[in-house]
Amino acid sequence: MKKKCGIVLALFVCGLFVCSLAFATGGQEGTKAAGKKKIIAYTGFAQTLPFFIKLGQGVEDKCKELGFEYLNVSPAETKPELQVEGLDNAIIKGVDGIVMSPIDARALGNTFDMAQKKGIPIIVIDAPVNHPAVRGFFGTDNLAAAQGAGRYIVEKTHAQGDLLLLGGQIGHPNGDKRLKGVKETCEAAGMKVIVRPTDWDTDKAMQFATDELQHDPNISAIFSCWDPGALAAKQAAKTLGLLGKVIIVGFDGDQSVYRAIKAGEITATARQQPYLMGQQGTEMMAKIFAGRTDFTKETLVPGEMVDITNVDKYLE
Amino acid sequence: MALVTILLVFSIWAPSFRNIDTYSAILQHSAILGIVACGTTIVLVSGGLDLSVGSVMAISTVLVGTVLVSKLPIVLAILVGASVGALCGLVNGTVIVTTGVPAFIATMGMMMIAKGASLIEGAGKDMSIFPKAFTRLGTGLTWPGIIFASCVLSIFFILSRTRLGFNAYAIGGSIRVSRLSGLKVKRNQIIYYVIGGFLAGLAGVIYTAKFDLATPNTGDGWELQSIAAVIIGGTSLFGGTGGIWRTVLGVLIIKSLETGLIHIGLGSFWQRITIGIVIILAVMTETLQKRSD
Repeated sequence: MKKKCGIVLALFVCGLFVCSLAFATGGQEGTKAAGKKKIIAYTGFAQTLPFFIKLGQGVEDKCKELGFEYLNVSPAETKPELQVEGLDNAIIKGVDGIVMSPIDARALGNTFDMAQKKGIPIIVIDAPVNHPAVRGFFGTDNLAAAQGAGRYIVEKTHAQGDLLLLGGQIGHPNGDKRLKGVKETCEAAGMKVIVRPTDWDTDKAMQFATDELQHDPNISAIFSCWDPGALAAKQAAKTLGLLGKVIIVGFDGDQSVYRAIKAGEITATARQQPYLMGQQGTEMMAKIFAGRTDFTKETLVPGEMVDITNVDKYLE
Repeated sequence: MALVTILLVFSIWAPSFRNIDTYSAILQHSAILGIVACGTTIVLVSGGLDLSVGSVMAISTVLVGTVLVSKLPIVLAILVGASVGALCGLVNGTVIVTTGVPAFIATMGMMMIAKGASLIEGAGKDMSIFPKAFTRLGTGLTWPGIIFASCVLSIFFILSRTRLGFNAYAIGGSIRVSRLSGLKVKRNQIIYYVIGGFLAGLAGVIYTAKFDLATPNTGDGWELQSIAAVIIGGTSLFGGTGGIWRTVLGVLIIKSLETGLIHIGLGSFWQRITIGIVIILAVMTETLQKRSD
């Protein structure tokens, strides 16, 4: 019987071979020239979030263009431990460079130590990490963009009513900056700000938005620190029949939010450029491979408010 | 057998897999899941079920973080983490045996309670950068390896050398027969849940040390992962059969697959599919075996 088990499992693993042959695109041609073709690993939040899909695409397309092999080790869910394991495996596999966006920089210390020991350069996108293995950083100027979003909200509401602020995960540098930028700007204008951290969970965002909108009829605007949260807030407002009465502003610039802006359901979003950042990060990695140092270590890409007046420019 | 096949196949397929670092990484990744799964094994063998281990990890992590951030001694942090786990286990076991609430329901309730408590205590707090002496417990292979190995050996000892362990098989086999033959079924059952909870709490401590981070998001979905590991190893979900070495195999199989798939260039979504298939295959072979017996 044990034999039977063995045979079944062996068959299964053979099946895996076939799968990997079919799906590991680019892997096959890579094996022969493995000695020469540089491998760049990418990881971000879960590959279900539009921002990180765009970012990964930017890295992948640039890799193709420059002749690198692209290895996506993103976690299936946005959990720091899954990202760490994927990255550890990539480092042991022996990649040449890492372009990544940290889920939680605090959990990555040991992994970055290992990369440093092996001499693997890391380029961080979106949220900065302080570590000697990190050679470069690309990110949106989150504080400035959030202050812009705050001014936009103040202008649209004439500083009347309360603002519900759906935060990300407290301790995430970008989430914190966005929260701070909007909160301070709106408070300075005299608005009352209600802060609810959601841990980047759209379910929680929707729940908080529903509860707070029912609880506090004074809410005149909702700001979400990331676009999926704005979509959730929109659904909450829709269910309560408050669509159009409450200003909803997001942060990221996802296509689904552009469509909602076009439909008049979401007011605006602070646009980031993940695809561009992915491409620039990969270009910087190419420079590091070539031994060049003619690049600035930190690049802040400005954000831009997108609303009904300019959404057509970005709608794909 | 299955593990050897998997390792062999990946080694042949991906040159980068043939590397001592890879095997060391698999062991490192296995340690925390392994510790949780040790507890799940004894609970499952005795015919129980514990869905709360993931949330118990979360509450343990958050409390450990709180203790460390308040600059209290490390030993206290470890004790608090492990004992809150044991306490949850005690409540689980007591509720199940005294009220007759099914284990599924009782531990699901505990899953929500512990998660809620950890959110109250830990949501929105920034707990990280703990003392080096503490993070060492989760870093590299040495300490996590030693802790995992001691858990395995302790459970092995309990299951194969003590009355408590023999009773687990008896109770898992048939609760009625065990009761009729005079075993203290209820007391034993409570102890199994306490062990399961204790180990989940301990896993939370090691998790906090490994990632140098305490957040209430820890442990979501771990209950199913640890049950998966135990079942892939061949321990029955309905109790009475199984063993700790099988669980070790199960954990190693899961982690080798996850690691191996990255080495052959398949992404994280494929890991899920593969592990899903392996679980079904493992139980299928088990069932076929029973039928032919």
